[in-house]
Amino acid sequence: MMKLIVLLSLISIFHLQAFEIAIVTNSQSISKIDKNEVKRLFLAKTNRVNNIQVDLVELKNTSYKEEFYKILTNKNTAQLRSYWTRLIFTGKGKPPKQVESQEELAHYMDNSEVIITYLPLKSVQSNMNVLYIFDLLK
Amino acid sequence: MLRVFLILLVTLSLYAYDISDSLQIRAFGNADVIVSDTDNIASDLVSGRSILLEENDPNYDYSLIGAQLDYKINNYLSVMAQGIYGVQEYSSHYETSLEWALLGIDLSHNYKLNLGKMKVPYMKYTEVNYIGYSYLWQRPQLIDGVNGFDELYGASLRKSTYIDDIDLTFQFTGGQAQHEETSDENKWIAILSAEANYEGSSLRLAYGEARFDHILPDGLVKATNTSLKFGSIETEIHLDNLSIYAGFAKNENTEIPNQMFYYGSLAYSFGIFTPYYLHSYSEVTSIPNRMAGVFPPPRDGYEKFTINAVGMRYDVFEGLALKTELSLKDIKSNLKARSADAPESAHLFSASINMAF
Repeated sequence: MMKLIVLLSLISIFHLQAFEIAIVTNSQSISKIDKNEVKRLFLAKTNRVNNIQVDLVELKNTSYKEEFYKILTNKNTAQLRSYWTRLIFTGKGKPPKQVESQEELAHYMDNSEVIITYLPLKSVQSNMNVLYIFDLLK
Repeated sequence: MLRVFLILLVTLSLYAYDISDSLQIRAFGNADVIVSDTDNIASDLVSGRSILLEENDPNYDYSLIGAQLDYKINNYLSVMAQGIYGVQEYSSHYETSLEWALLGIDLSHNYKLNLGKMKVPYMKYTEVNYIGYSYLWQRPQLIDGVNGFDELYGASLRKSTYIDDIDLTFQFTGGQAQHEETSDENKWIAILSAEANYEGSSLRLAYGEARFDHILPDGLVKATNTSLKFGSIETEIHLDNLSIYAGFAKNENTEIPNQMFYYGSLAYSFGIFTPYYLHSYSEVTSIPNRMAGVFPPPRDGYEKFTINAVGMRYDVFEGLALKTELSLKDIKSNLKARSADAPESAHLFSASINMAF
């Protein structure tokens, strides 16, 4: 029984460590960004990396979105929604564009200049350039 | 009441809609009811108009609907227009009004220039008074901008930067001001605001000056180029699920009444439920205190309002929140024009559905 508990615990810990989110781009002109830059991008504090204008896209209704923003911004969902409302309706910024599916996201990345998005590391495609990796404790 | 239902239906049907990648329609709305346990208690609408509440007679005048059109011309230029349909200044009727009309210019190095019609950024939520969804409480902290100066035609230049993990935003706003109550002319306003954010908590400062010619109701120019100086400081601190809010604002001049305001609030988030406590105090001083045979009237009048409120915000789903609030409003005044049976306190109950898509 004890062995089983230890085994389950190890599996659980492994699972916790395994969920990683990658910040990716379709551009080769950006090679790396730090966490602070990611935060500033996804809070619309800036729309530039190395003074290159970027567009942000995110998948709708993902299981990791809330945790991603919590770790990134320290805001819960309600606080984040209030934040975006204040920015949108004063002309100061917009949240990332939301897309319905991986296919739509891929279409965007193929047909836009510089896109940055976040995905589970395991979903990253070969044509995407990984800029930063987050550990989410899922 | 029918109008409130219509506001609900129309707002929900205007769910944020991307017509194309560069054109979006957004909407917001408040379906709101307020009830007082006392006759003749004044409640200030976000349009700047006061309504007199009667005992146990529900009032729906805080309800409104708004829509916004965003169009991205190219990577550097965009336009935004926002209008509302609600109870307007000097009117008990629902009317439409244009609240924002901006040309946005995205400059390099994180500068953004907005030109056009905009709100005065006095306190953190002053620019979004109409949009109940954007703040925690049932009502915005300040209703009428800087002593009635709530809109301007001009420009704002915004710069975003950071020091280590602290995000900093600076904004200069200036232009020809609109005052909601007076016919004063040559109104100009300039305001510098700065906000620092760290780990979701923030500190915000604003300081500015408005200038105007004070015109009396009979058309006489009483004073020219009068200066009204104002400032505010606010903080939001988020510690896990606990949030602490506090703010102070003051403005002074020599012609129209002065205002001072502060508030403090505690909230605790249980996920989608956020109960809160709010204490606020506001005073209007230097009010002309009319007495028979005395002209000009001495400017020694004052009105002081203290509000203690408990409330709850319930985030039903993204873009829709229910709020309820019970508040005790205490009033102190030495105005001669105030009637002897005017209430000195009242309990107010409010409930609303706030939407933003």
